[in-house]
Amino acid sequence: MNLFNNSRSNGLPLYLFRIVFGVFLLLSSLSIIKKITLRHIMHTAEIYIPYFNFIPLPSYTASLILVCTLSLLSIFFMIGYRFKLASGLIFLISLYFFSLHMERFNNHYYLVLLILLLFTVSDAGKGLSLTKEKAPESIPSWQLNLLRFQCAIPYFFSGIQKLLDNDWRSGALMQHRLRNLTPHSLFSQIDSYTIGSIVAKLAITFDIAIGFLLINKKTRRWAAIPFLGFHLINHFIIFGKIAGRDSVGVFPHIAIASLIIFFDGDEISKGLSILKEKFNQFQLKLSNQVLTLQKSIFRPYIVSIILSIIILFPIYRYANYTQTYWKDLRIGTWNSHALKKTGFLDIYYQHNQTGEWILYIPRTNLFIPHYKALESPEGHYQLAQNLKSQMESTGLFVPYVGFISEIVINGSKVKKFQGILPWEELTEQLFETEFTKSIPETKQ
Amino acid sequence: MNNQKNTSTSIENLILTPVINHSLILFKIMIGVLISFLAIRNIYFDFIHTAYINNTFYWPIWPQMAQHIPRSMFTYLNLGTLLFGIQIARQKWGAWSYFGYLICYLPLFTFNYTYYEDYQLLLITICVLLSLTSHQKAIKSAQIQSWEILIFKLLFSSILLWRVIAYLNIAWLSGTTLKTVLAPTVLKNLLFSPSNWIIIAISISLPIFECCLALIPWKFPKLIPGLWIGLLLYFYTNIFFDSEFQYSQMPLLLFALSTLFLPADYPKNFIKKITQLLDKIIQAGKSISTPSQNSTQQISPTVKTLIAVYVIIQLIIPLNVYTILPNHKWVITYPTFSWSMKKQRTVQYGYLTLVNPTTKETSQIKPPDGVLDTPLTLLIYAHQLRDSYKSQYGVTPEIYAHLRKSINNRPITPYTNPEIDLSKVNYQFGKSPSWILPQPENYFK
Repeated sequence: MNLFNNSRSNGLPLYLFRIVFGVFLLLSSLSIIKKITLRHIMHTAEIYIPYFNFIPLPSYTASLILVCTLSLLSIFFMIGYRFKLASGLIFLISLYFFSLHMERFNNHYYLVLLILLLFTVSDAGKGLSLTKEKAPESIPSWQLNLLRFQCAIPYFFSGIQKLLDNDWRSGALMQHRLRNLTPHSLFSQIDSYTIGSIVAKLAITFDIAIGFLLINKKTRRWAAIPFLGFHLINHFIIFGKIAGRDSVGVFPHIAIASLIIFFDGDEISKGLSILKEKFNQFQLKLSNQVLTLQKSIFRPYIVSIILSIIILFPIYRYANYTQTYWKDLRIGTWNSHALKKTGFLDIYYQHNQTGEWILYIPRTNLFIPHYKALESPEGHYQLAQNLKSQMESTGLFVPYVGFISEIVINGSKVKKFQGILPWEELTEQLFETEFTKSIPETKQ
Repeated sequence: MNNQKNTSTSIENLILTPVINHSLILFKIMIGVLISFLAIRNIYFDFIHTAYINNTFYWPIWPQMAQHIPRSMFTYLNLGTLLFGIQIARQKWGAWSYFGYLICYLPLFTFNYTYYEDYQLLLITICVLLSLTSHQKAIKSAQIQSWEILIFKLLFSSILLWRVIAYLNIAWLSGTTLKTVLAPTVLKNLLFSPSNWIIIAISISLPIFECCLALIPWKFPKLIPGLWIGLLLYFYTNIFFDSEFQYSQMPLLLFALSTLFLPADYPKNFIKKITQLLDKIIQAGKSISTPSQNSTQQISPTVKTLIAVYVIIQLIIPLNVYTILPNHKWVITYPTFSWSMKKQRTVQYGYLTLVNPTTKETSQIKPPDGVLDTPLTLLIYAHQLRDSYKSQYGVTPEIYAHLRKSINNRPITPYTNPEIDLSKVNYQFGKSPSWILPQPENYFK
C-alpha cells in the first residue's frame, strides 16, 4: 500500500462503504433524537466541558435541530446526493458535539470523525448514487489507501499500549473482565489466571498484526475471519449484555463495515457474483408449473375443525360471566396491552425463633417471574404456596403469613389486601375480594 | 338444489384449487429461523439456567406434566427446539420436524405461567397447523391446495380481530389504560406530551388500525409491504410500547403471516429483484474494475503534502502518552487521542465540598460520571460550580475535592488534595496539577 503512488483503483469498495456508513450515521442520529426527546440524556447534557472556551453552548432546541439535520444529511450521504457538502456538514456538526464534552472523550467517536473527514475529501459520492451523475472509471488509489491506513491504525497503537502495560500483558485485567461472565453457566469456569493470560496475549497479537494482515493482499482473506470473530466476541460476549455491560458501543459495527474497504473492487465483484449465483440457483428451483392435484377433502375438513377451535378459543374469556378484570389471566386473548395491571405485593413471614416479621419479597426488587403474580388471585396464592414450600425445605415453618398488597387495574386502585393469616386459611378464593387485618411489625 | 351444488362447488374450488407453494415455503423458512433464533437467545441469555433450573418460583397453570421433568432436561429440550427449528428452516424431516419441535417446546411452555407470552401460543398454533400441510421433499414443481394458505390468512385476521375486541372496553376507549401504559415514556416526552384528547384519539384509532390491518390484505394485498414498513418503523422507534418488539416476537409472527396474502409466487419476484440489484452493483464494479492502461494520474504536490501531514499527525499524536505524560496511568490530564482502548479499569469515589466563606455553611456534591476522569475536567466542573454558586448566592465558595481511586483492582488510594481550594487554582499546560496527590510509591509494581 503506497499512499503516494499515482495509480488509480476501482472505487466500488469506497462506494459500498459510503452506503453502509451512511446507514450507520442515520441510525445513530435517529437513536440520539429518541434519547433527546425522551430526556434520557438531558440530565447529563446540562454539564458541558468544552475543549475551548469560545465554543458556544447549544440550547435544547438547537441540539434537537442539529441532530434532525444530521439525520437528513445522513440520507444525502447514503444516496450520494451533494455528497461532499453533506459529508462536510456532518463532519462539522459531529465535531461540534464532540468538542462540547471533553469528559466524554470516546475513541470510537474520534474514529468516526476522522473517517468523515477522509470521506469529505474523497470521491465516494460519485458511484452507486441515486444522482444522474455517471460514475468515474476509477478513483485515485490514495483515497482508498488513506482510509485503510486510518481504519488500521487504532488497532496497532492499541496493541502497542497493551503490550507495554504490565497489567494487560500479564492477563490480570483480562481475568477481571472474564470474571464478569462467570454467572453464565457456559462461562462458569473461565475465571482463571491462565485463561486471562492466554486471551490477553492473543488480543495483543491480534491488535498489533491485524492492520498489516488486512492491508496485505495475500493475507487479507484469512485475516478477515479472526477480524470478524474478534469484534463479534467483543460485542456479544466480553462487552455484551451477558457480562453485565451494555455493549462496547458502535465500534464493532464500524469495524466490521470497514472490512469492505480492505478488499479490492474485483474481489467484491467476485463475491457478489457468487452470491448472485446462489440466488439464481434457488430461483431455478422455484417452478411455476401448476399440476392438477387429487382433490382429497379429508385433510381440509380435519384442519378446518382444528382451526375453528383455535379461532373461537378466546370466546371462553367473554362467555365466562363471572370473570372479572382481576381474575382475567388473558391467556389466548392475543392482547396484553388492552388491560394494564400494576401494583405491589409484599409477603412477610414470622421467624420461628426471634418472632420478628421478615419481608419475603422486597417490593423494590421484584424479580420478573414474580411480576405476573401481581396480576391475579391465583398468582397471589401461588406465590404464598411457593414461600411455604421453600420454608419447609429449609426446615423453617411458621403458622402465619402476612400480606400487604395493592392492585391497580387500568390506572385505578381496585384491590387491597393487608393482614396476617394462618396457612390453613390461605385459599385462592380469599384473594378474590379485599381483606384487611392488623399489620404486623416488620423487619426488612 | 342447483344453488346448493354451485355453492359447494365454489367452496370446493376455494379450498382445493392447486396453487404454487412458494409463499408457504418461505413462510416455513421464516418460522424455522425464528424458532432457532429463540433457542439461541435462550442460550445466550442463559435463560434456561436462570428460569428453569435455578428458579425457585414456578406457577403451573396447565397440566403439571412439566413439573416432573428433571430440571437439567430443560437444557436439552431447548437444544431440541434449536435442532428442529433448523430442520424446519431447511425444509427437512417434513411433519416430524414440527412434531419434534412441539414435543420439545410444550414442556418449556407449560412449565411456568409467569413466562407466558401471546407469541408463544401463536408459535405453537402455527406449528400445529403447519404440520398438517403438505411436505413435499422437493420444492421443484410442488403444488399445494389453496386451503393450506387460507388457514393462515384466517388465523392472521382472527388474531387481529380478537385484539380489536379486547380493546373494546371503557377503560381502553376512554384513554385510561393507554395513559398507564405510556406513563413511563411518552408522557415525559418533550416533543410529544399528549393531551387527554390525543390519548383518547390514539386509543380509538389503534383498534380501527388493527381492524383495517385484519381486513385490508384480503382486498388489497399489495398494500402489505407498505403497512409493514410503517409498522417496523413504529416498533423501532418504540414510542408507544417500549417492550413489545424487544421481548415479544408477536410483530415478527404477524409479519410472517401477512406475507401469505401476497401472490403465491412473490418469493420468485423478490429474488429476481435482489439478483437485479446485485447485478447492478457487479456491473458498476466491472465498468470501473479495469482502469485503462494510462490510468495513472499525477497527484499534485499539495495533495501529496497534505497526505504526508495527515499521516505524520496520525502517527505522532498517539505517542503523546509516552512523551508528554510518563505518569499517565495515575494522572491523565486530558483526552489523549491515543487509541488506548479498555486499557485500564479505574474505580473512583468521592465528592466535592462547597464552603460558603461568610456563613461557613458546607454542602456536598457528587460529580456526574466522566467528570472525575481527568484533573482538568474536575477543575472545569469545579469552576462551573463556583460560577453558578456565585450567581445564586453572591459569594465565591471554597471548593475542596475528596476523591479516592483504584486502578486495575489495586487498593483504593486518596487521589486529590483536600486542602487545595479548587475555586482559586487554574490549569497550566505542562505543569503537574497541584490538586492531585502524587502517585503512591510502588503503586504499579
